[in-house]
Amino acid sequence: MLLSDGEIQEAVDSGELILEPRLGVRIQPSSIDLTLGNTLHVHSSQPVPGISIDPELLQVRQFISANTTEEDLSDGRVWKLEPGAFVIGETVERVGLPLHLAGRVEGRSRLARLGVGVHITAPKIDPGFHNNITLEIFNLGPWAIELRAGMRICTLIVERLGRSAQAGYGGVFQGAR
Amino acid sequence: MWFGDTLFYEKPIDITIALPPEKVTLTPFFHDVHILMEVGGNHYDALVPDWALSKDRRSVPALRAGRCGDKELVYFPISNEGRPTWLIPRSDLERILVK
Repeated sequence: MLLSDGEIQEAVDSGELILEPRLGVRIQPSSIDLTLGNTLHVHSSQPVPGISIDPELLQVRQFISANTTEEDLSDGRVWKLEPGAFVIGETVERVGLPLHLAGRVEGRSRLARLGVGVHITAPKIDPGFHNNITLEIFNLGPWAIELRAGMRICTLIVERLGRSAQAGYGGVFQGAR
Repeated sequence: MWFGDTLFYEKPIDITIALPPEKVTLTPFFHDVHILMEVGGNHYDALVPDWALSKDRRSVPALRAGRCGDKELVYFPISNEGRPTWLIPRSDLERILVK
């Protein structure tokens, strides 16, 4: 069952749902708009001939880190997301979900209609998650799109589970950061 | 080996896994860290939140959630790729447990 705006507000106020910082967050009727952080990891916008990647390879993340560039959006800098481009970013907000809540990060319709998506078939946020949300941002439209830190980039849907997830993270995982 | 063959512990056991620098590569990615380590000739990896690592980045907490034959089911803190899970031979796990 999705949480409504009032339920989201209550969950945040009671500490059941962690959302930090709250500045810039906007609660929608059944979701929460979150904002884009300062850093982007930028993939090559051109096909890279001669390289194929086995996604199951354990070293694939090191490969990605070595083959993307980091862009800083602080101090009002703008990144132009060209048509066909793909970057990885994250939310400013850190989200913490207890074992009886799960989340789904989705795009905003304003951006979708310009051709911009914020995840690639991986929207699920598991119960017990406690971190900033990583976004896979791409542009399928014909225009370059300006990305700025602090812009409302995605919306988070929160769902209450029928019963809590098993084998959750108590003890050492509490009080992260 | 199948999920249904796993015997889950009634109460998962908190453990700490050592990350000896000579055996481990840590790759930060936003607020997550990718752990890639070699144990007994086998390689294991997990993407965990950076807050989960100890301050000296020499260990990470985890849970022994169950067992399946001679292997242990180990859960790590949930990251942006969900819950990293290892099915690891008990002998390998015992090598990297912080006593």
